[in-house]
Amino acid sequence: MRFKEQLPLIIGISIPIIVTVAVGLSIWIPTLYAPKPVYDFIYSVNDGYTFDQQYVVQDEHLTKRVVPIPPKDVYPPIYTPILYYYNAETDSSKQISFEDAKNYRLNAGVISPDGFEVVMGNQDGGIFPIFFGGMNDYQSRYLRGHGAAYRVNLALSSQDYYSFRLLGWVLDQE
Amino acid sequence: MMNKHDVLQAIRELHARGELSRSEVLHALEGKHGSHGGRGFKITDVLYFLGGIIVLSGITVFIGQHWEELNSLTRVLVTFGSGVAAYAVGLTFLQRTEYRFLSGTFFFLSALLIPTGIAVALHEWGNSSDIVFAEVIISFLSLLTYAASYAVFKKHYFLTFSIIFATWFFFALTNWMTADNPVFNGETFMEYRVLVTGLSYMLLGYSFRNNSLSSFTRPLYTIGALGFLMAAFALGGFDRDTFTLWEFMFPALCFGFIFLSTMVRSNEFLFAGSFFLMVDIFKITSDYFTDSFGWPLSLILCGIALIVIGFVTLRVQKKYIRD
Repeated sequence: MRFKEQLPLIIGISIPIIVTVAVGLSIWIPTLYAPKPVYDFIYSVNDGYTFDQQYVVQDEHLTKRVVPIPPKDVYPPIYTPILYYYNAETDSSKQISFEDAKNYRLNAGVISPDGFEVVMGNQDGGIFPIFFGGMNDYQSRYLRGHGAAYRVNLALSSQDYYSFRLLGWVLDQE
Repeated sequence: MMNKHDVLQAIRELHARGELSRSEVLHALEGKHGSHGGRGFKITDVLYFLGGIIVLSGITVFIGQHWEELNSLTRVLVTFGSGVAAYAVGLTFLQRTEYRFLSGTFFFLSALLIPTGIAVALHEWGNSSDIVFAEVIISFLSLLTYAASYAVFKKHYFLTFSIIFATWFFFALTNWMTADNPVFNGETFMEYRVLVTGLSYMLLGYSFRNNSLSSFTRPLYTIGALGFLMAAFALGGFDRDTFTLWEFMFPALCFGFIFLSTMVRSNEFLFAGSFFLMVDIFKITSDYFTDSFGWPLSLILCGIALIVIGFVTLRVQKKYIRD
């Protein structure tokens, strides 16, 4: 009888605890079964508002396209996008030249051949006002797929988080 | 002289005729035995708490004016130290019968200053960029402090602070666990957590209804029902081209609350259910019927539906709840 009377209290306290455990499991379990991302990718960081060239993938190879800037739209300094190579095995990025990058055969799809896509983080900044200065980690990117997400180390600073551009998944090198 | 059986029979009959409510019986028993220890909410209580808030505002402005001149240790002392001092003063007043009424105000001040003090300490000496984890620590330590205080002193305000900090801890912990993880859709995840918190509040309110914590029941029902239905409404989405399961279930949930209100005799459930049913009628009408019926006819139908809901709500209240 006493247990029956206390049942609503027990359930009321247990529900948030069960949800918290379920959230933990839903993060942890997919990482046990989901495959690790294996495809490297090449990306560019524009590093400014005005840039004079663009990189695009044509026929599975990186090409450079010059962007003519009308004089009235020029807001110096003019930046040249920087190319980076992300290595999935070592989870690291290194800067590469256009000459090196065009030697790779690339898949320009949003989703990699092994089913991952690069997405931004989803951080809630919290509610306590004193930490407003450091609340958002804009430069974080994830490889998401198969119910799991892996944080990736990209060469992005808080200034150029918005200018990240995935160019292509590396299929092989020629 | 009536015996016990006669008295109980008379109470049953009066209750069946709607002339005597459950809460009136409980209040009569409380008045006679004084076992609840809870007293009515007086205007003086409001003034004490207003005084507390004004004192806190003064401290905040004063500290704010000199914040840049203070070093880390002083910053922690004026916030966390003030919180501990307020707690100690509250504790002192609690021990003295003639000043006991003031203890709540000082504990209230401490409940604001102690978490702020912990936050300042983490900001000054910890890793201030990890705000989400900082909130887990602040809410957990605050919950620990006030849950332990409630366990020792059994004062209602400690339970209030414990519920608030436990709620914060739940949100902070789940935020931290999913921090930045794009597998969780931030908005939907928040809605589900509000839904769960609302359900938890209602169950706590229900479990407190017949004991010395019965004064918590109505606020917990109100916040719980509003949170639950608001979250369920938001989960239904606001995109008029997609019809979700939550959108389909929402009217049934509202009727469920109205039905539940008669079972637990709660005005809070009745009005929350009726209010959100009205909101849902507006939403469904504007989403699906304005194109076919046109706005004027839709408004007329909405108006009629609202009048009917209002009428039924009052009838239900009069017949089944009537406190």
